[in-house]
Amino acid sequence: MVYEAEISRTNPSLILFLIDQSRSMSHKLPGGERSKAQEASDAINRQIGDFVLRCTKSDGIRDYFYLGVIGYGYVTGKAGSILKGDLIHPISELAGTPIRTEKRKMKVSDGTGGDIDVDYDFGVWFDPVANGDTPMCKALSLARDAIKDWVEEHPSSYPPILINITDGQATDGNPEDVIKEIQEMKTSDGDTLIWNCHLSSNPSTPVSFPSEESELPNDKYAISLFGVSSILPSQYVGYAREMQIDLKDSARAYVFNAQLEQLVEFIDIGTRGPQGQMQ
Amino acid sequence: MLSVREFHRPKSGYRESEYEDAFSIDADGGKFAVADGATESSFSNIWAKALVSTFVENPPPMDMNDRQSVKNLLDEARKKWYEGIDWTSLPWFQKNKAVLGSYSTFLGLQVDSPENPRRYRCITIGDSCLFHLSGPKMESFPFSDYRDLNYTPRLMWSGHGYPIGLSKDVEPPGLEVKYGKIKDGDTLILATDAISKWMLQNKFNKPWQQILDNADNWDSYIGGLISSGAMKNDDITAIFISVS
Repeated sequence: MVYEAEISRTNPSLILFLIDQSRSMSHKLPGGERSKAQEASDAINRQIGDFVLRCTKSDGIRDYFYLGVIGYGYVTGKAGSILKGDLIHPISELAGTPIRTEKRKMKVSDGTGGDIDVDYDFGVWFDPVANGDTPMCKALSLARDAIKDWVEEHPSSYPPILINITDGQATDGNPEDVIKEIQEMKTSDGDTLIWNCHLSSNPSTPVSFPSEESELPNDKYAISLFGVSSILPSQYVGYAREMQIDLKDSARAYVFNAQLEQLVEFIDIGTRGPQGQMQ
Repeated sequence: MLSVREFHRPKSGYRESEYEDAFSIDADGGKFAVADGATESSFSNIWAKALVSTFVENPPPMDMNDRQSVKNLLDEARKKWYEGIDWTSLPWFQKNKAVLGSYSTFLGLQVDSPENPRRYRCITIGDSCLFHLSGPKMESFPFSDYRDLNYTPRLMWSGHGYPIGLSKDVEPPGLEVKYGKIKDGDTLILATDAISKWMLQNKFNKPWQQILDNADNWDSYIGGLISSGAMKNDDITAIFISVS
């Protein structure tokens, strides 16, 4: 398991985001000003924009990545793509199809050690929703089917990455079985990576990238998602340590009780690996 | 007299229009330059071209302070780069990236005036290399060990794109300079990083001679090295200068 395949237009990689859209996502996320649904949507939209930015070359966008965002609970019992059209989109298509762009400020280096603020267009591909229940198994089944097709068609690609953001437990069954099926889907470069981020509703201490069950509270659901989250490949352990996160070599791609800071870190670390493999 | 052979190709599987290295040659004037535009930034091909063409068309006097020479190059090349891009017609996602500017390595070689033809100055920022072959000896600059090319190189920055543009001054990064002397029969080679690394890795087998021996089928020869894993799949540029 090396996670070193070069990512190019002829050997692209797949990133799938799953986002819980159940009613409880309307609660405020500790550490932020807004609801869990708004912060999670913002974080994923920002990440899509970052992929667009990285794939932008002088002559346009190069399709190094294919992305999908699956929402679950936007209507009770429903799960499906929340981007326009198909489940999986080449990045060039996403660049041309945000539902809108918003003017925001970003800090850029002034070249002398300082920063300056610059206006930029923040792409928005989907809006936050907090409405129904938590049909996570249905969403994972859609992801499983997409990943199965992907690894068959791209057997030597950088392994797919699935990032699941939720604040509750599945209301349509036990997600462990379908996650285990996904974990068995691999390319010659490694197994599919499963990342689970459990958002908090209260300001209790987050547990980032645990390596043992004993690091978690006695919560059946947390222990279950921890157990089916991927063990971090060594590169990702390195990225986390660069961000001053204290974790063991056997850490898993799981955060319990994530607040805004942990959510942003989690998505950043989860997408760093493939971004570093762009040819 | 300086005789020149130039070799370049984009990454295997890429189009010529996607080649992001650049080179410029004035054999009569003794001026040569190569640059490797950073893939991570946009318009780096335009920036790399601006650097090499500015250097060759308007070289600094040999006796000018090295850092001032690079500062002058930077100021002139930035204007050329900025004017070479139609900023207002870019789609939103390209504007977001273009404001961050472009990055490139640079290596410029100038051989002194015909009155003093045996002295040269080489200025480099980043990991493009100069090889000086003289009889059985080979000197390389700035690196002599291929492992030194494993690190992120120093880069020349264009400064910001639109809307900040040229309003802010940009200081040149750290640079390295070599002064040398050439004699009849010597060869100088300017090369970007992937082929430099391969030459350093194989320096005891005269890799430069292998390139010249395969000059007529250069593209497939290099393609073979890349597909076998001997050379990194990268844009490749090499300028061979023979002194007679």
